[in-house]
Amino acid sequence: MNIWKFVSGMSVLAMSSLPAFAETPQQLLAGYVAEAAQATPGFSPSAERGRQFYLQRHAVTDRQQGCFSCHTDNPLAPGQHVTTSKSIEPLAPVAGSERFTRAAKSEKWFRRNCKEVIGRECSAGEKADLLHFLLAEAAR
Amino acid sequence: MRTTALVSLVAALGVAACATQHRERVSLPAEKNALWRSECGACHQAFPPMMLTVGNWQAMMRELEQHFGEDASLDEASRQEIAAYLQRNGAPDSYGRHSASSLRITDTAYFQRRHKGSSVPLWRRTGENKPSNCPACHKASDEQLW
Repeated sequence: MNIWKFVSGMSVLAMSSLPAFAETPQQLLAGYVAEAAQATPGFSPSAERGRQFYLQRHAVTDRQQGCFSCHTDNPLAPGQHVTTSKSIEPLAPVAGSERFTRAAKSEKWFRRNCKEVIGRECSAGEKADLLHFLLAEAAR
Repeated sequence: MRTTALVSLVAALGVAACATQHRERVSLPAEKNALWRSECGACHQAFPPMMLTVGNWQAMMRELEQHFGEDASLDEASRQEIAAYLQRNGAPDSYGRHSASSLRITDTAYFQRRHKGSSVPLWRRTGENKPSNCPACHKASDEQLW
């Protein structure tokens, strides 16, 4: 049994009432999965699709060609802002990380970065795939 | 309101006087704001409000979707809180040396004068080609960068 399915079942109710108060990356993932399933019944997140999305060279802009431009090829590694050189904490939600622990913050960065890097907002399915991939990497 | 305006004016004059006494040393405002620090400091150092005029900050806060080529948009409540903080703590609009039509701190006369080397700007001489990356040269803590 996939752990995310268990978590998903546990947290969908909470997500539907208080989406801004998701506490864990697993709960956030469950919320994105539930949202994606509304558009695509039976949707199941894929770490492989997430990996491809993360590494894809979208090349909408020269400077920020993909997630990796700032977050590096390895989401477990610290990154660096490609314009300002400011260091960036690893994107993957490893133990002790604050990554993906606040729905509003997660949404803010998806909104900004998706528009910049792929030229449009990301779908719930894309967010679910990406987060599933990041969680899988963090669990390695 | 008049009292508030008068207090603000006296405070502004006091700040101006201090700035003169201390040769315009850059400092962060006494008023702290966690939201300003976390949001403005997410992609770069949270630059001191006094480095730009109030008018420049307000213009910048109106176009966060196009923030020097990047999307730095905020929810409206956050945008308003930070804009108000910058309104209270930015340089007065009469301080032309802290103003730049590009809205870039690095284009202000103040910044340029303070970083002017004998022939090459300081950050070029140190090999740091991003003048906005203050910590590359100013190694002190955030509070005491200058």
